[in-house]
This record gives sequence, structure tokens and C-alpha cells, in this order.
Amino acid sequence: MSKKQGGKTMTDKFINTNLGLFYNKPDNSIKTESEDYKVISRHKINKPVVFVGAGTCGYGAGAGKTLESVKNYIHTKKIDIDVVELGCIGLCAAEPIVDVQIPGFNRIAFGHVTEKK
Amino acid sequence: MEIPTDIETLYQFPTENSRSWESVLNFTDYPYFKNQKRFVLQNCGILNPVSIAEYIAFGGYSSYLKTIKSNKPNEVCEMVEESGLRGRGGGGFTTGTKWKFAHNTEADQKYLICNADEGDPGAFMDRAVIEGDPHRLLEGMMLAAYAIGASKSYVYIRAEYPLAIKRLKIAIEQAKKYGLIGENIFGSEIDFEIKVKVGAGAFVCGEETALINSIEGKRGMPKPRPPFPAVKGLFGKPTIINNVETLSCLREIIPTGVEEFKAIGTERSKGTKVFALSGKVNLTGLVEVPMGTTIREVIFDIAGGIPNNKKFKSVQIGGPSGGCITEENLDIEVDYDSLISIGAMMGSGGLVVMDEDTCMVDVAKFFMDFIQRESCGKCIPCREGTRRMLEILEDITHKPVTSSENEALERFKGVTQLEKLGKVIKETSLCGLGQTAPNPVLSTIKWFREEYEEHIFDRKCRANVCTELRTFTIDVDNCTGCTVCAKKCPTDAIIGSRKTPHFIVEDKCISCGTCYDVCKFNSIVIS
Repeated sequence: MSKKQGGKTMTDKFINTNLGLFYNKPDNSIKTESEDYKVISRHKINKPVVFVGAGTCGYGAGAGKTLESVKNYIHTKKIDIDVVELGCIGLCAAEPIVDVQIPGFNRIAFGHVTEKK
Repeated sequence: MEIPTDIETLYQFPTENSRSWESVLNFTDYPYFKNQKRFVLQNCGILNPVSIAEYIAFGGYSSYLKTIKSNKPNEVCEMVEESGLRGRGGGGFTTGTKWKFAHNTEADQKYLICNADEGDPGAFMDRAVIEGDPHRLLEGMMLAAYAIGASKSYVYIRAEYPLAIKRLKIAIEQAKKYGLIGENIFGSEIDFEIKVKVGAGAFVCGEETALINSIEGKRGMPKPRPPFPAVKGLFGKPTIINNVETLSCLREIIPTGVEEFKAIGTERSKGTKVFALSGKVNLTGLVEVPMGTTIREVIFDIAGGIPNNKKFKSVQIGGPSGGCITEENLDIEVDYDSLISIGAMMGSGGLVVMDEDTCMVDVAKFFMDFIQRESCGKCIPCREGTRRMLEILEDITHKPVTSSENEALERFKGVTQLEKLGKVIKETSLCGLGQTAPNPVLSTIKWFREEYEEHIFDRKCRANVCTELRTFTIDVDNCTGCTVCAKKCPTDAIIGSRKTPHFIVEDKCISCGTCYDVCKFNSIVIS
């Protein structure tokens, strides 16, 4: 949790700076080379991220249980992984969809992920 | 690093300086997404919906802040009119033109309402957009409110979407925290306020005047127009009501995307449209395609066709207000006007696919049942007429009580009335619900008349859906007298002693089909 607190101030700064830039310098676009941007847009990650498709269609297909088992797994193995709940990507037939992004690799999506990991 | 083999791999997202997975398709090459053009859905399922930072990192709120700095409200109205954006909620009215009415009306207070009361059976695009990318909707609302000069706005959303409401409220709190909602936004002297109004679940409240009544705390019933809400709407003030998808398009158009938006689509319908696919189709889900794509491409190329090698029969577009599209019209290009020319309509964009196992009379009955429940009761033709239409449909899908000629005549009379009744309801109802209520029936009669005739004259349902029309008999040669059917029959309609062929007493049989399901010797014959 302490890490998140630290992340928040960086996020705050990022949001305020960029919103200010959008307004005051309309020709400016987001600086994609900045470190903040890379972290927030997940172009650069320090630890694995698990994305769970958790729109209503995902929950209907069992994403709630998937999410719970992912969190349990992380808790019991004591590993540092971010879990993000997403909306629906549109491929409702393959829900629950779980994306996994490991540092150094492309983000990859798996379909029909029930409680197993 | 290897991918586990016991799991279904879908696609990967290419990222800079990252290794890719072998033999996994890229997101943009994945067959389901390859032919789509994702404007409204571009962040859905990819970005964290409740993170304003991620949305901003992908350019979020830049459209709004740039616009209020450099463009006048009337310029924004012009841009939207120029782009050719039409309302995505059903009617297809040009959004820019509607805005201009409100913009040009003098008033001390104007309102913007986002219509997220998505009630059509089989439609769920608005839910997915709000759940997956609520900030996009908020930015669209800010742009629209700026253009028409509204400082207060409402999101009218159904209570059936708890997750969407939750995420929308989180998004609003975040936007407030960073000064995007509130007074004097970024020192521009613009005030903007959003309230979430949860609807109690009446279909008619998706109709704009009924929706306004509902927000005002009155009963959800439509009012005659004119005056149009754009001139005299909520609390008597100029009000613009736009659909979620319309508003979510805006940030792609304003301030710099007009040309790009105009380049997509057909001559009179620009941009993309999100369809919600459900029913008998391999890949159910949301599809966003450019206007002008054919329905065939959507169903067969993107969504993978009909499961179990069944034959395609029809697709219902536009929910209970729309109509059906048959095999022969599958190649029609999706656009507001072409769909109307074949008796269907764009509606909100629900596509319910039906295969050969679907009975069209039953489909019409389902929609009529829905409509007659949802009719608010203000106009008698709609209130009584839809009820009567449902009764007629129920009549022809039930077994006649007696086989007297009088009853056969009644049934026949009912059907000749269906079309006439439909016409009267359409012409004499006040709001969109009544004016389109008979569409499912009229459209199925138009394209599947022979199925109606079979139900009426032969008392036969070719898809075996209308169970009460079936007559069951036992094939005495196959029957072994195992008594299973007799034991299971809920009405004791099967008689016979052990090890001798059984018989069905027709008067007692309710055509439930239990005996057919339990018989192990295929000796039950349906006719």
C-alpha cells in the first residue's frame, strides 16, 4: 500500500501537468518519452500486471471468481503483482478474459479463464 | 518464458522494447478485431476504466481543454454538423443541427442529458462503454455542454446497470478532483456539473420527453412535440438529449477530427457504429464497424457465423422498434436510410441473430409481450392495440380449444386484423414507442408470411418452438411398453399396460414434449 501512496503523488503530478498543458498550450501533445508517461501508460512496467475483464459480461461468465482466485494466489504466494479490473473488450464470447503483462514482454490475452491460474 | 498449453491464447498487444510471444496474433490481426474500426471502444477492455491518469496518458481530456481554449461554442456546433454525426440512439437526427436549436435559444439555464437508459432487449453497447471507458463519455458530455451552453447535465442511467453506475460515479469524482468538473474550469469561466439520475427501469423513459418527465419527478409519460426539448425541455429550459454512443464519439471529432470522421462511412451516415451481437452467433459481443459495412460481414466474417452449422434465418436489428433482415438483404450496407428502406431501422444497435430453429411468430410474440408491458398507457391505440396484437399472436400459437369452424374463422379474422391494427397504432401514437410498436409483427409478416400461414392453417410450427401446436402420437411398432413416458406424463395422458404399446389421449395431452424427451426407443412421433 505504501508504494501506491508514492505512486499517487506522481500520478497527481502527471495529471495536473498534462491537463494544464492541454489547456494552455493546445498545440502540445503528451510527451511520450517522459518517464511518468511510460509508467502510467504501462509502456514500462516494473512488476507483472494481471488484467481481468470485469465488465458485466465478464462477471456473468465468472470473472468474479477468477478475480478472487488471482488475488488469493498472489496473497498466498506473496508475490508483487498489480491486478487491474477492466471493462469489456467486446469479445464477450471469450470472457472471462485475462491479460498478463510481464516486464520485458508484450501483453498477452487469454480467453475462458475460469478459476484456475 | 513459455505460454501454458492448457489455456486458450487469444492475442497480444505489441509494446515498445518488449519481446513478443511466438505464434500469438497481434490484437489488430486477430480475426474478430481485424475488420473493426474502434473509435468509441478504443480504450474499452484495454485501459483501466477507473484510472483518470491512464485515460489522460492516451490523450484523454485534451479535446475538451483544447476546445474551450481555442474554439467558440458555435464553432463546435458547426464542426459537429459538418462531420455528419447522427444520433446513435435510434432516430438518427443530425446532432449538430439539434445542438444549434439549443445554442440559438436564449435562456438563463440550459441542460444536457445523456440518455443511458438502454432498454432494448439484446442491446448492451452503452453499458460496455460506461463500464469500460467512463471518462470518454464524460469528455463527450463536457464538449456537448460547452457547445450548447449548458452548465448542468444529467446522466439518466438504468438501475439495472449497477457496475456502470459505480464506475461512472468514480469517474465523476476523479474529474471533480482534478478540476474538470466544477466552477470556472481552468480559469475559463465555464461551469459544469454532472448528476447521475438512476431510472427505475421503464422502457418508455428512453423516449426523450418521458425521460424529462422522469427527471422532473413526474410520471414517465411522453409529451406532445413541438415544443421540442431543444427549445423547451427539462424544467422548461432548452435541453439536449444525446445517447451515450453519440457523446462518446465527440472527442474524436472535436476539435481536429472532422475530416477523418467524415471520411469514414457512407454518403449520409458518417463514422462508426457499435453493434451488440447476441443470439445464435458464434462470437457474441460488441463490434464497432464503419458505416457501410454489410450485415453479412458483421455476422459471418467478424462474429464467425452461426454455431453448429445451422442455417441462418434472420437478424433482428433495433430491438422491439426495429425489424428483421433476412438472407436476401444481408448484403445491405449499414446506414440509417438503407435500413429504413427495407423496413428495419438502426435503432440503438442490438443485433439478435436467429437460426433455423427460431420461430418468427414466437419472436414477434416475444417483442409484442415486451412492448405491451412497457406501453405507458397514455395513448389508447398503443395501450389496447398492442395488447390485442399479443392476444392474436397467442391465439395462433396455441392449440384451438375446439375444432369448430367458428373458431377457425376467428383466428383467421384476427390475422387479417394484425396488419390493419399495426397501421392504426403506428399512425395514432404520440411517442416513438407506440409509433414503432407494431414493427416486429409487421416486419415478420412481411418476410415470413408463409410461417404465419402455416401456424394458422396447418397449425404447424416448422421450428418446433410453438410447443402447443405439436401433436404427439406413439409409433406402436417401436413402443416396447417400458412405461417411462406414462410415468413422466404430467397430465396422465398416456395409457397402456406394461410391455404392450401405449397410446396418447389427445384431449388430455398438453403437448409439453416430456414423453418425446424421455423415450429411449424413438417411438414418439411429432406431427
